[in-house]
Amino acid sequence: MRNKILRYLAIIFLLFAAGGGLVFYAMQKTTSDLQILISLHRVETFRQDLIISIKTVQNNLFTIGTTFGPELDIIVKNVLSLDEAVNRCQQCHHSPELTKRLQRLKDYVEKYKDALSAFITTTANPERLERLKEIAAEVGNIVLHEAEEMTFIAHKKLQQKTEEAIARANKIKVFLVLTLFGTMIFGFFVALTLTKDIMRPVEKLKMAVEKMAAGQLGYSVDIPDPPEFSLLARSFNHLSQALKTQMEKTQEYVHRLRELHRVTLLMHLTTDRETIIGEFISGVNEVLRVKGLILLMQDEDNDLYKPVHTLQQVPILKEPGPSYTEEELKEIYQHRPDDFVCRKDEEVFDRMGKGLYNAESLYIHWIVHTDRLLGALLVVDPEREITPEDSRIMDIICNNFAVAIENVHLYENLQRQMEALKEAQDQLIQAAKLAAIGELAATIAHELNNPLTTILGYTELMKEEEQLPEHVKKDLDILESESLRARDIVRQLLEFSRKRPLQLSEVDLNDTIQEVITFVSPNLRKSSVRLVTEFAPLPSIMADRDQLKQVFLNLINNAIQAMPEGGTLSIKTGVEGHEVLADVSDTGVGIPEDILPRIFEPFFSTKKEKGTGLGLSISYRIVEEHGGRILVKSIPGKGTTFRVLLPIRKGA
Amino acid sequence: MKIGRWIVLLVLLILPIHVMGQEKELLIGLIPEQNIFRQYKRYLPLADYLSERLKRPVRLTILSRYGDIVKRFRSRGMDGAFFGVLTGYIAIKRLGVEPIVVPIEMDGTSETYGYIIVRADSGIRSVEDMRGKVIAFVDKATLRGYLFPLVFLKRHGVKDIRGFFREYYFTGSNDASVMAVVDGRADIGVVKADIFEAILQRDPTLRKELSVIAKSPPMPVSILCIRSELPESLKRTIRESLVNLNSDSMGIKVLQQMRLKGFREASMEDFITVEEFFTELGLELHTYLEELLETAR
Repeated sequence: MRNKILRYLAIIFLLFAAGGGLVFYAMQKTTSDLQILISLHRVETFRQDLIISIKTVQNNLFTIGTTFGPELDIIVKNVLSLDEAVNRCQQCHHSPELTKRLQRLKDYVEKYKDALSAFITTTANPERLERLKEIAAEVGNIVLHEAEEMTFIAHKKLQQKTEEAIARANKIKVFLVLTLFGTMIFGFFVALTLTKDIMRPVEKLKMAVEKMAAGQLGYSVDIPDPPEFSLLARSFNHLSQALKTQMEKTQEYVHRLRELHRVTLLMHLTTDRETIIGEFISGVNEVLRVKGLILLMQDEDNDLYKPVHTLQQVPILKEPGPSYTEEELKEIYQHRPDDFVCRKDEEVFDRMGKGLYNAESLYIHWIVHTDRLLGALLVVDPEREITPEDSRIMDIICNNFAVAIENVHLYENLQRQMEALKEAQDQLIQAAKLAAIGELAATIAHELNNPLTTILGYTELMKEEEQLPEHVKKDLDILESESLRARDIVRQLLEFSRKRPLQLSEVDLNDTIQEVITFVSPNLRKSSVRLVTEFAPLPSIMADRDQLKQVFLNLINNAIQAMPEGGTLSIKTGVEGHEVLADVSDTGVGIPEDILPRIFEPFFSTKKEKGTGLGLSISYRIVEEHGGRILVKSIPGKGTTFRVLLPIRKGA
Repeated sequence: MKIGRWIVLLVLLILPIHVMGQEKELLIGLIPEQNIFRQYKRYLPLADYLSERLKRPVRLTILSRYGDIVKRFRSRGMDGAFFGVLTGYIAIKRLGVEPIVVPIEMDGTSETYGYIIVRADSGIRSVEDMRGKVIAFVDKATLRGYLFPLVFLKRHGVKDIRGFFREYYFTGSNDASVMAVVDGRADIGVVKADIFEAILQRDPTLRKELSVIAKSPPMPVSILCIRSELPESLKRTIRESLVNLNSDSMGIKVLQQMRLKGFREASMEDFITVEEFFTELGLELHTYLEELLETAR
């Protein structure tokens, strides 16, 4: 196209140059002609001046000395003007013939001057003077004739030259018009051709741009010719492709950011550890599109890092999966604290990728929170190369994951602490209640004990009377038994209120419970209650054996009483943390939920006349004095389980 | 209005300067010692030069005839003129003009001769041969063009020219006298030597055609005389300007155009020949002047 334009421009330039040259030539020629014509006209004027001068002088000649004659000075000036006119004519360029004629004219003018001067200055007789005048007039006529003849010739020549110049100017005009018209026609043709050549690819490009603007990124256009537009089309295609690629990248990036946002939000919205891990794994998979993925987290019990979640597109992990000690993982972490990719032939692959198969490479990202290594993410054969951008996104996901996990941990701790606090508060209230009631009971018991002793004493004395009627004796028996019962209650009250110091000794809880079972076995048989025991080996504890026996006696009796229609009494022992536990479960009626919080209160009883409502209160106080706890779980209609937890003796 | 006032003020300021700059014109006459047109053209550069030097216009005027010089000098209100020796003498005596300068020819002399010429083929070799011929004098008021041939003829025994020549007349100028001989309108002519040389230079063929048969004693070529009434300073400036003409480039150019070497101061010594000729011819200035006036048309 460029060459074509250059060719066209060159032709137009040549046409213009030719036209310009022609115009220049025409102007030169016309100017030259005009100059010649002007010169000739000027010469014509000169000749006219000459003729006028000659005629003036001739006139002077005939009037000199008369009244009408001019002053001599004027005549002199007129003659000098004539002289000057001739000289001026002579200065012009003429043909040799004309030059010759001019010279002749000048000679005649000289003679004329001489004759004139002679006539003017001569003093002689009138005849001579007349003769001199005639001579001068004759010479003057010759001069006039010569000048007129020359003027006629010059005039003819001027006319001829003028006609020639006009003819030439007309010719040039026609030629100029033709050249101009030709140039215009050619220019129009060039403009039309070039416009067509340019507009065709421009239209194609315009259409392509519109398509691209409409969203067809990657649309390409084919313009084989001209080369400039072909080049432009290629550039356009590159641009279109680049925009498409960039758009895809941007979309991918936006998708990843959205995923990142979703994952991080979900991880922070939940306190469920498994949900967090699940979202984390899903997020990582979205970002990296992995073949396999293993999340290692520290096991708090034995300090090992083990897989807590695995994602396998193909089998990559041999069960039960690898485990890493804190030391070995920390060593690698300290050596390579940033995320990294290791190939199969690298030494670190062997160390990190143990238990893996079908893996060619590993991408490892540490999960760290406040400099504490929580775990690591192992990505097996990531489908894409890990770019710095991937690395940054993974940093964000892993950091958020670490924070979320740490939050869960903190939340669990908080929950535990809240529960412990509530329990402590309950125990404190219970203790205060028991103390108050105990003090009151002791006072009452002490006051009741003496009258009861007196009643019993008089009852015995009355019974020793033989003549008493039989129904009185029966009444006295009832009186005695009820008084004895009242004395027992008073004794229990005293027992409850009396803060007897613990007689601590090394106690095997299993043995202690067994002793109680032996003691209550007649009751069991009587109540058709089946006993199931599951004694685990227990470490010995430091406890007051008798008081513990009372505790379990109360619990077992309560259980039997809860199963009036019979049932199963299960007694199970075990170790939980730093405590030994003993569960006493029945399959009885259970305790309604609304009264469950009050069962350890003194004198609270559901058994009416059968209980004093002090058994569980006393048991609660004894266990508490041992530094342990009694927990109860009951399902109405299904049964109740009391769990006694007692601290294991230190050093045991 | 203000602009109008300023313009009026400006005109009033400029006008006196302009008027002061316009000194009175100086009119210088030229006697027709040669073709009057040539004579006029010859002296034109000098007039221009003097105009420049004197800061006043200097105009030339041609005196058609020698004879009416005194009359025309007065009537035309001339301030000076380049006179011949005789006319100068008359002007001094009758008009009271002062001789100022005399031109110096290219050969260094300020004097020239008067020639009596004839055509070479005329056969006239002596005074006797002149008898019955036509003679063309220059003017009655010229020393070389009239008084010298009279003295020459008288010394050769011709006391009255009226009976001796068939015709005599006055051409009014030296070159007209030469051309009258050349053209055959006269057999004998009288001419001033420097004019004659100039004619021969213009037309060398005449050198063979014409012969000089008598030569006068040397006399000044011409003499510039000016009115004695003119301011002394002006007269001095004119004299000094002309005497020192060859000391500046413009003056040298003028001299080249006039084919002169320069000017020298004139004195009454330059007119001795006039008195000698008057004595020899027995003429009185007074009666001669009357005769001149009679001759004039």
